Amino acid sequence: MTFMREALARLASVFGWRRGDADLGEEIRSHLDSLAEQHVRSGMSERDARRAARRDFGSVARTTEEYRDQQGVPALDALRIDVRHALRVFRKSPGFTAVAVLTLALGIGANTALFSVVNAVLLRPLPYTHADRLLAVSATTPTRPLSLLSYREYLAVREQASSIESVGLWLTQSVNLTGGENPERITGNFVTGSFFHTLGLAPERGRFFTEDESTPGRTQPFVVVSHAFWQRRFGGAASVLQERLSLNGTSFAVIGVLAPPFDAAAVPNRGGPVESDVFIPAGAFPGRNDLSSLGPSLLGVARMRPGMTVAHVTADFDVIARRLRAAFPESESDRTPRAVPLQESLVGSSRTSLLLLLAVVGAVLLVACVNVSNLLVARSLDRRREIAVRMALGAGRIAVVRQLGVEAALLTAASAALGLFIGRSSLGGLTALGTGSVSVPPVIPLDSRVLLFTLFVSIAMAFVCAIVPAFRVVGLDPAGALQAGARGSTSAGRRTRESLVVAELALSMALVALTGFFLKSLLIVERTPLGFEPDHVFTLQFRLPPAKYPGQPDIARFFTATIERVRAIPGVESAALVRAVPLSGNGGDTPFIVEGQLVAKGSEPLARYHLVTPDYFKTMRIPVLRGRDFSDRDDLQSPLVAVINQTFARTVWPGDDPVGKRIKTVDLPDWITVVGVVGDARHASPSEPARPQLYVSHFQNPQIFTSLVARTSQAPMAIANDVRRAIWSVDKDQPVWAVMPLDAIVDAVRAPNRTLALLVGLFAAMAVTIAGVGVYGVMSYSVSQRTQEFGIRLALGAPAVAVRRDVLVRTLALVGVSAVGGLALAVVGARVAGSLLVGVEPSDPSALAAATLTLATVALLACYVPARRASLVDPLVALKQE
Amino acid sequence: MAPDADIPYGTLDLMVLKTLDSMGPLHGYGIARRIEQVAQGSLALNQGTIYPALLRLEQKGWIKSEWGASENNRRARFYEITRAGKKQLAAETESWQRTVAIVTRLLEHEP
Repeated sequence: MTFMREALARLASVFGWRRGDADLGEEIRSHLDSLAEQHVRSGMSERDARRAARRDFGSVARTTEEYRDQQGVPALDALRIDVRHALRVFRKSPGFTAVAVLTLALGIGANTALFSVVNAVLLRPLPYTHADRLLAVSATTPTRPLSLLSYREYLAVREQASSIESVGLWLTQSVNLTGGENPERITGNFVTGSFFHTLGLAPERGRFFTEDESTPGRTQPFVVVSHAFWQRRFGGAASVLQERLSLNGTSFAVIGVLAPPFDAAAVPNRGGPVESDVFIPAGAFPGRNDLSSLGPSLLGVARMRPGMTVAHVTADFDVIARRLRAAFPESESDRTPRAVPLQESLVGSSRTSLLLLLAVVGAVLLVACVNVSNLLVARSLDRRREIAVRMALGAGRIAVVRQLGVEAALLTAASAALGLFIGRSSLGGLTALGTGSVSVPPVIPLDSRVLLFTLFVSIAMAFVCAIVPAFRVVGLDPAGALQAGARGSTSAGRRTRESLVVAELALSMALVALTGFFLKSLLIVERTPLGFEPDHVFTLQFRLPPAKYPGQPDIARFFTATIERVRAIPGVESAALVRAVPLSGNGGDTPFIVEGQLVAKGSEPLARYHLVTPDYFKTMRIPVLRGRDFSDRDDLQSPLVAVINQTFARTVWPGDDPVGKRIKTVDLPDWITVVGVVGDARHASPSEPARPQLYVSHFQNPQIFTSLVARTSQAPMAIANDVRRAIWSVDKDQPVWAVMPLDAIVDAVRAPNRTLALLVGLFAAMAVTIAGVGVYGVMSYSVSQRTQEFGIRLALGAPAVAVRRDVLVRTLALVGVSAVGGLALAVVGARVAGSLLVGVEPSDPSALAAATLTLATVALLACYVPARRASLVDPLVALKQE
Repeated sequence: MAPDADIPYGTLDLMVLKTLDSMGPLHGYGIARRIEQVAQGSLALNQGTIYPALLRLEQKGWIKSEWGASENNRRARFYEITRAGKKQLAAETESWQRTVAIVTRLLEHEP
């Protein structure tokens, strides 16, 4: 107890509640006076009495010292002194302090910003209870690694997988909402009742429909709405549970409102399975047949039992797949259900780009650290005299190191605070740009992990920035430092500084080379011909409600009328339908059989499958190379025809004329005759390799989901309202969406690569600037140390050019050495980036050469001023400096 | 850190406490004088060492201090024992006495 009291009292005195020396002085004086008086009374003279009193008292100095030692916490006291000293040092050289703090702050800021994104996208758990046990369930076949689940597979998994606690189905799809002023398209999510339970969701109002109520055959017309939709459509009114919604032509009763999971806005990939307006029982899934007999249609989400792993689940799935194949031999063989952690499935592809960016900013930070460290080394060598004096007066090495450590700690603390601020502020800009192919959540929280990361980075930095200079300095011979004329530059010191600069240059070079790779890849991708002309093309999508258009003739009638009306709009040069607009992310493949070519079941070739109307190729300006385009005569009554692309022709009938040959697909009953060949056009991505593409006449296989494309003479969006009116004149309840020019779609697809290249370039520029400053600093310092040498040389008749050349050559030598490491690092980095770089070899010489050249130029620019200064040294002044 | 006084650390504390306990509030000089008197010259005490000790005792809460006027109207700090101090004094006295008793017994029972 008393120990505590004493400790507290000591601590209190650190913060000012201490007995001042003045008080003690008064007590001591009083004491001495009394002692003297005592001696006087026993007969001594005044002076002798005083002397005797002092003798009795003992050393006043020691008393005072011990008294002081009794107060304060010695460590803290020393720290306070160090801090005050450090602040004084900073005030004396504000320029240096500002540069150091700013450099470090930029490095920390970039890291904090990026780490916040990485944290939000990759590291944070999804906002569901026990999210680590959630899996995304799909199916896989040898030819199609990611396939949807069929209802039959879902039932099998539900009943037989022992490692799974619960499983649900879901699929988001556009849904037509009618009954309002205008028909509207909203996102619907077709789910089984078990879906809500699996994700651990809760209703805010009302209830969810049960598994039974969503089973095909027993489905109830119930719908659950999201919180956001409830606010938007019903104004958050409590009467929502009495409302009905007309979805896809059918009336549904609202029975519940979904409570949003906390931080719903902070989930990547637009909230995944929960970001929908309405939740509809899976049994109401639109299609020609009942859901239970439909093939793969939906995605699954499952929750593992506690203690189970994905390996257990995979084993279960293998068994289930075998049983299914045995029970239903006519189904597609080699299909297996497959599970991955839900987080991974939402985020997957972006992992590489995010981690790459993190490495890049890490490199920038390292460069910044090295720079500041170098600056500190240079400065501490300047202060050799001061430190030598301190050490001569008894300061231990530890004390000196501690003092330098405190300086570095204060610097990094300031830059950490500033960096955190910069980082968080720039987050807004970063998310606006997007980072690569990531769907960054709109809200990026600042949580404990980010703060810890920043703290960790700062401490590591303080270490690097402090330890290197500190140990450099205390290792020096104090006597040598005190000698008059001692110069700061020992050869060992210079080597340290130069090797640090070489490290900076190497890192910057690697970053510049990486930027070069990305730029090259970007150019390749953007220059690849698309195969069609995206300018002046208007697009939109629609999906017809199957209830209103039950048969193919009905669908055909609607679309025939629609196209006619759209073509009549002034400004429209041509119009057509296509199932999926190129690069829109829609569209799929179909297996096909070639007449006369036998192939094992399950390994049929695949082709991208398009349903188009006549004039599609004309609208998209895809050249027809052989045969003909579709015509109005290709309808439900005439024989089936198809158009293929060049790659299809080349792959399937090499050297032969494909016109007249026949093929067969899964969804059409008869053989299809090829009537034309068109040029290759990209569909899934702008840089995909050429693939077989198969075009079938829409009017021979009318589908409810399709897109309109129209080539306009003016700006595409100018006709938007006219098109809407044309469609509504055919069916006033038919909503449309994704109304945008094809240009915008193409740009959106290209944007992630552009952004990534931009970001890498930005960081490379930062690093190069910092490295340039570093070169300037080192060369500047080196020149100032060698003034004498230069003075002598100039006095002995060396031309100024020679002296300048000396500095330049030195600099280039540094760049040369750094190139070895830097270029090697660049190659490694490119290899890591892997799939992000299209068409560029990791050892592409042009990018590497460009990087070396850039750094050499920057370095030469940086050393220009010091070189000039070297050549302008006045020999007399230099010689006098002794 | 320990000052090399002629008397061990702990016993100085004990003596101060005892002095204050028997004499009531005293200032520094008074305490030093009293200790010297009681020791009857067998102790060589550097009187200055009392001040760090007094501060320590105050930090431990065994004494408290107050400014006041001394006999010759000088401003002096007066120290007074606290209740906790009295308890500490009693405990340490007992501990000393026990030690003395043990050592005495040991010395007497030398075979």
